[in-house]
Amino acid sequence: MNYNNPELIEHLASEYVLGTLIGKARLRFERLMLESYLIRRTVWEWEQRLYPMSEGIEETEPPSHLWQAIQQRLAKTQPVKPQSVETKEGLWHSLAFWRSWSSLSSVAAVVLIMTITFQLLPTEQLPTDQIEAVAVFSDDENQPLWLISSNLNTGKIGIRAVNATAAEVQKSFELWMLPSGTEPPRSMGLLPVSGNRTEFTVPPLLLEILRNAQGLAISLEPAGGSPTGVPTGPVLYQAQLIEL
Amino acid sequence: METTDLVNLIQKTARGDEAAFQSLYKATSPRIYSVSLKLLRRQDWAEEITQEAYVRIWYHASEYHMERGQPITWMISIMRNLAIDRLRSKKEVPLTDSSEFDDTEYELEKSGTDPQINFLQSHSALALSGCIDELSETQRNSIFLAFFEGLSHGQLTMRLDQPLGTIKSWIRRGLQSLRRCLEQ
Repeated sequence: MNYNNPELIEHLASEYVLGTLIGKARLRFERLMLESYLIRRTVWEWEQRLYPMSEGIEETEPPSHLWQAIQQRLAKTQPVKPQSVETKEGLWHSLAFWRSWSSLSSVAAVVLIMTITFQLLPTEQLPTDQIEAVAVFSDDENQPLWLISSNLNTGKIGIRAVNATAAEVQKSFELWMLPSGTEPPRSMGLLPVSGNRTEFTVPPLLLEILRNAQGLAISLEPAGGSPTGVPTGPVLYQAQLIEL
Repeated sequence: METTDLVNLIQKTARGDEAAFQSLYKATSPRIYSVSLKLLRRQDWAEEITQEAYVRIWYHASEYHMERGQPITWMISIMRNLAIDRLRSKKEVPLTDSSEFDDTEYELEKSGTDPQINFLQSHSALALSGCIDELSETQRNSIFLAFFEGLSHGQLTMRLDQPLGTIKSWIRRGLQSLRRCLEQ
């Protein structure tokens, strides 16, 4: 099937939004949405075309216990929410970080990162010894998507979404460390998107694994992360954790 | 509530503002819940899916952007995709002759093959309403049943007593006509 055919994309997107694209075809299409901005946008357009139909449905107040149930769900899972906005930018301004970048990356990528960084708040200069390793996840065109910095002494991890845009509605990007040997990947949590940042500290046991890890990987998971504790969706990106 | 207010609430929700999230819930949940109730036809499922949708809205608020359309469109999309997955995760059962729902206290009245839709007066709904009027009755019915009741092609063949090819063609052509009409 030729997924570059605009009429075919329109057709699949329209039936996806209507709900009549089902089974494997639906899953395959969701995968295509992930890969193609054009396909995502076509779906968004169809949502905007068709959803006004639901304006005619008479509104019903949900039972009051529904809000309580939602609050309880959020209270239980609160620590999982990425601290997306209120975290510090300092890690990304360390000299060590820039040195590593200028030696690792193409000039274009460095210019891009600097552009992004200068839009942040350069208010805080952390000592260079606070970053010990960095990893950069890039797309096919070498555009950085996420920057990961870590302090392998304290376990402090900083993640900055650069060009990473949202996964499709029911999906999340999950970060994994790949232990040396044959151990299965270990989750490091969900990744922020759309320019957001997050910062957290990995527990000592995981930190030990991280120090010896072969690298990091990102998989596509159901919203909220892998239900099983190991990657269940496709592994989309891998990167080395480079010690400085 | 104005669109800009909802955008504002989503933006604050993305920053972890629980009060804003509550306001967002108050403003939008009657709509989200009623659409899910119509689609799923079971109160317990509608509550479960609405709950799941709002949990996701909380976690994914930072992913909303203007290309998704109005905030309510983005929110309905989250709910509908959950609801459709729920409907499809069950074995395909023709809803017309199944007693599957009949013995539950939750059953809601099923609509017939010609749901009466009274569009509200939003600009996009008015435009869509005009274009839907231009569809053939068979195209309109099959699209309505798929959209409002979540029927699959297979379920539509039974509800409308038509072969699969006919159903697919009604829907495909109906959707194509809608798009052409709306783009005029």
